[in-house]
Amino acid sequence: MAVYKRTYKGYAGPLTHPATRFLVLQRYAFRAVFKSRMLLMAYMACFIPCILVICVLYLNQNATVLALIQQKAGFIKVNGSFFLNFLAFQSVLAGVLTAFIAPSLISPDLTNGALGMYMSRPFSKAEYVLGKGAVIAFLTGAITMLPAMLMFFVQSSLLGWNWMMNNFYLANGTFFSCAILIAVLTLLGLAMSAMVRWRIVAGALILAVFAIGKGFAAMIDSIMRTHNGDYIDIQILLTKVSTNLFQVPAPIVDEIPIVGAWIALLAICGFLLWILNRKLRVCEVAR
Amino acid sequence: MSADIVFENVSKFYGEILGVNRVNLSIPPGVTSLVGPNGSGKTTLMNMIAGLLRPSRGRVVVCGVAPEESERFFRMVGYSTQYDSFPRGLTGFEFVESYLRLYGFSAKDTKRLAWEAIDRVGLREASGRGTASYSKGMRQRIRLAQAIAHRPRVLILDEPLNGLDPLARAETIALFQALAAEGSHVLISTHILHEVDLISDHVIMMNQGYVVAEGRIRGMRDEIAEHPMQVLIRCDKPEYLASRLFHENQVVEVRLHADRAGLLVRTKNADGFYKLLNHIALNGVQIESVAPADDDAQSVYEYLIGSEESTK
Repeated sequence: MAVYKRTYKGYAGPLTHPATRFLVLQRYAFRAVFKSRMLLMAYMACFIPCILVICVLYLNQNATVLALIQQKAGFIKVNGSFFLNFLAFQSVLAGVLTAFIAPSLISPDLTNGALGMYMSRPFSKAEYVLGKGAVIAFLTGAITMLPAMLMFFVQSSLLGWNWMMNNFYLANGTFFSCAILIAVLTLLGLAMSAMVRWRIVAGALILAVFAIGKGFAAMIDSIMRTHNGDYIDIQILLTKVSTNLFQVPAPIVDEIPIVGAWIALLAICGFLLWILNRKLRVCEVAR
Repeated sequence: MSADIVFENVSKFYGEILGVNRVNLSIPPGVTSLVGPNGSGKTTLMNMIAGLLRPSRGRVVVCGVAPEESERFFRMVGYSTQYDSFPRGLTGFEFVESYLRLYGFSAKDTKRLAWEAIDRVGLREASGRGTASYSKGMRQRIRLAQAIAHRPRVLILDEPLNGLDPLARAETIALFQALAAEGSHVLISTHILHEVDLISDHVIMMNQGYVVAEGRIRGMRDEIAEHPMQVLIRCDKPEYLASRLFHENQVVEVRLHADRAGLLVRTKNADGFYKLLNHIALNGVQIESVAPADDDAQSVYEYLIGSEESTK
């Protein structure tokens, strides 16, 4: 009979805070995402509109330029519509970016049965989703929320404290409309990556969700002669919420109440989380 | 606090499908092999010890810690899947290091522990290469490195010897035995029955979700009364010995070897038979060797589970 002496020693050194461990996943995820030079260049290109707009904001308040074009006030009006249009353009880029990066985040782990490797450590499913989602959130946030906030502060620095306080709703609108956009894109990207293991299809599906939702919404609206179909059109819901936050009148999307739009977006996020929870199973379940 | 892995009346159902049923086990430290045909519940049992699955009924406690105490539990358990689960583009070192960081070790300790584990599996030279370029054996070893890197007390390895060449296989078995000698639990599932005796101190045999037998192979074999024990005897007068043995009640069958230098005896009472053999040896028969012929995992497996299902 073997006699065993307990001589092994477990690790007894310092530990990082459990709340920060999800950041470990990003370490290699960013490297994997930007392994493609094309994608890296495309991502860098997403910053060009931001740089241009910030330049325009500066020129808009530059006395020499204004004198040159014989304008007293700025040549563009920096208000809710200005921010809304900028974010609408950047949102499209964020959507396309998500379609490229999200499929490579979860599907390889599912294909390789690697989830068990994560979950057999002091690391939960929620932390896994948070870690993977943070990759999309960081990258999309950097081309939407970050430049829009920068625009607000550049404009504030040019026009002073009063302008900043009077237009604080623009910062507020930027933050909340970008937050809901990032949340929807992140969860949609992760859910599609978890559902479809073929990455090209998953990427296409992320973009198709917007088109399919729009199509179904239009179908429901025309058949039932209501506007309730708009509740499944993510683009309309996001536009509705953003126009409200930026205090821009938007008659086209005025058919559904703002509370309804928020509830619908939160319900969509909840549904995507439910899909993730269903798909992220550590062990294959016999049926 | 118990040092064993304890299953208390554990059942696991996947909907209406049975995973494992009414399992009561107490697995002591050492190397334990889990054997059984595909779908017998081995992986379910391992996943429950690894904390990846919760039982539908009953309780699993690993060295006195329940999976609910996740921080303590997962720090104690090391797990290696049979699947090729390598994040793309990582080198062997990065693979071990990235999973280690999930435990919350400092950067310095992570590096030290990763190198320690890589050295233990003998992959230092290849650790800078991408895992994609690794052979099947190297992949097995780097997976083993990530499982042992955080110095777990309980090591759960699904088919850890698959794909290893004979030298790597011997080294890996030696590593299991070294870990066991340190007081760790090394639980492995395997289909290679003839190695089970060599590797393990304990064996758990499973079939259709039930634990069919558990313990030491010899003890298991002794309890299988319906299959008489087979003993191989090499001696100078096999015919004479056979004729003597035919008269004994405890001997069920005697067969002469093809080379006519030995015989195979089947007996209902092994201990009584050995005593009898001593007596015969004193009466002029030169016995060269006596060895049990079916006192191994392969035979026990075939008796309990059936040869048709073995080594799928």
